[in-house]
Amino acid sequence: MTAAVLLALAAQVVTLQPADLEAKAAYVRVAVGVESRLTLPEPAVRVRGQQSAKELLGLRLGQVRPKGVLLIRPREAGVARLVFEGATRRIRLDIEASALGAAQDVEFRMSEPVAAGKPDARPTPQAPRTTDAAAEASAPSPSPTQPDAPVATPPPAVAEVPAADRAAEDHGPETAPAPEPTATPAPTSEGSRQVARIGRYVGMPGQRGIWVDELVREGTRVSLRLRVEGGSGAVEVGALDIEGTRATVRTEVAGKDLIIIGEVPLPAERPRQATLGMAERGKFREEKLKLVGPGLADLAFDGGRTW
Amino acid sequence: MVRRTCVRVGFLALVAAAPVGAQTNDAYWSVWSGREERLSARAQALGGAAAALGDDSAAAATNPALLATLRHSELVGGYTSFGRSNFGTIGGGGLLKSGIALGGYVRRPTTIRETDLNRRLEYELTEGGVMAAGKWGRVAGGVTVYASRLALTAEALSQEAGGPLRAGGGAGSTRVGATAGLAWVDGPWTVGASFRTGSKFSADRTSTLDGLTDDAGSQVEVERPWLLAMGLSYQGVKVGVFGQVDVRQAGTIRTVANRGPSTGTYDAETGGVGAVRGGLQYALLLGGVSVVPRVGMTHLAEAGIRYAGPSSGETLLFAGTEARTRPTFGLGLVFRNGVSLDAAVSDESTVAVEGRIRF
Repeated sequence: MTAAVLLALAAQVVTLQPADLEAKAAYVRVAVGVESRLTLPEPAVRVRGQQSAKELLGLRLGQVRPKGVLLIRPREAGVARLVFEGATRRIRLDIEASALGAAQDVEFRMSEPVAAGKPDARPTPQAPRTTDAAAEASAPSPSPTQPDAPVATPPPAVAEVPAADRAAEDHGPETAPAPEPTATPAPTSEGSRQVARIGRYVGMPGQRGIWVDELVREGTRVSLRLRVEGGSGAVEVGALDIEGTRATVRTEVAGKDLIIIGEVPLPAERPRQATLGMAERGKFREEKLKLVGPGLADLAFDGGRTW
Repeated sequence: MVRRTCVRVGFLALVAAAPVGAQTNDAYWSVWSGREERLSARAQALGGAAAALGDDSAAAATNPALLATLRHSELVGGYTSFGRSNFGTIGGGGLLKSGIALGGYVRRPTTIRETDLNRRLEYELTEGGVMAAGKWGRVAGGVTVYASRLALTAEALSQEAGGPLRAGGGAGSTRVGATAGLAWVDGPWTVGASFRTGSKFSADRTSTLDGLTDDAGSQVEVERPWLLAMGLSYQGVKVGVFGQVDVRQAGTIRTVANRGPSTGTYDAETGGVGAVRGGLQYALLLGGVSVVPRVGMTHLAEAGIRYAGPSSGETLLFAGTEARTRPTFGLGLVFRNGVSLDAAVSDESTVAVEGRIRF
């Protein structure tokens, strides 16, 4: 069986071949009305799929880090496709909910350590917590004893799934893959540091508020500082994209708030928007962040085109 | 007889009081005196507890310091109906930058109408204000300067005269007042206090019959009381709890006939603690919409219009209102595109709706 074939058996481990991830999807059969647990090999950035598919599956994000965990409790029989986006790669999942299925506890692992595509993972001593997703994902896969072949156990059946029917997907605009890592520049002089205060609030009643504090240009890097109100200890941070570029993320605790600092190489123009993924109590949330101040002048002139 | 009718109609128009019970008198007075909970449907649903209600430019008319807690610039429009009266409000607040804001509102018309077979009374208050606020660290301060214009018209069908008898306040009376506010904001907690100055209106009542001056008229002085509002709130991710205490000056209405004896003094509200307010809200995120049900309570001290003078009929008619507690209910819908809708209902047939858009 091709290594990319994905196995789903009750309480088992599935080994994935990185080379085949783009072409093939994992197939899992789960039981209707029973919660199944899918553990992915990387921290979760986001889970894409049609809303109807998510509702059919009763999808919840059980954990973001260190490995993404999807909790599924299908409400009825059917097949749904999800795309799990991790820190460094995407994994397609074809999930069949069947009355004949059984509760699943599936752990997906990569067949080899993830080494490529590792962004800047320089240590940040001042940061109590580091969520450099890519760095974490680069950790060696656990359990070298992990079998590559399926365990011969009774159904649910293991099936090889051909290349994905991409037309059936409704992922919306795909996020650009994480950029190739760039060397961290040497610290720049204070003279080259430019700070654009933003002070924009994002969030609705019933949601934890996110403050877009400031955008800092320093040398050949740009960093974005966000603050999640009361988010310390409550929020798991996923990926932060700044103008489509995956940022190296670190977090700090400031009282009850959680500070998120994302850094990307200096783009040609001042970044205008960012996307943050985070989860709280198993619920994943993605916010588009406008990197323009809330003032009337900012609104009128779109924050200006330059620093 | 005609003269007596005219005097009575004119006076009733000015005090905006009709023989429909003491509670109605109080409701009229509450609007006339400018109780600010009438400004915001969101605040009304919370029992009027707006002195520490942040991120709401409509509630900032109560405590202008809260304008500095706006998270976005916004425009607000609302309509309130209570009994046979109503008013509309438009306003908003704009951020110069985060923590510094300007705002304004116009409330018009605040109209009180009372109509029966023999007379029509109409009282109208127009008010406009501008607000400015800033926030430095956890402390915010702000001020509102507003102008209020009082006008009245009344018309009575006099059987004796055989035609309409008109009594009114002529051009009305305009006064400028101010509200100053402070707030301390620490995470979900807000403590707010505001002080609104009092105003004294003076209107000349005239009366005409078939276009001719019928009597010497009278001069009416209305003293709108100052108001100190102190509030505390907790606005968490989902739950919000709000409280407020109002301390006020006594308000009075006096009439002095241009000819003949005084018609008496009408005390409107007593001084001291005028109201204790509280509210609770809970935010639910359903799909792309936040649903925010609200409940509130207002305990109003003894108030209403109480007559002190020689007329036994007036004494019976304007006997004031006992202290009472009234519930309020409301619902807010907040959409992801920045549009939100709020509604509130309470006793006294009050219904308020409000829409806003944020940028």
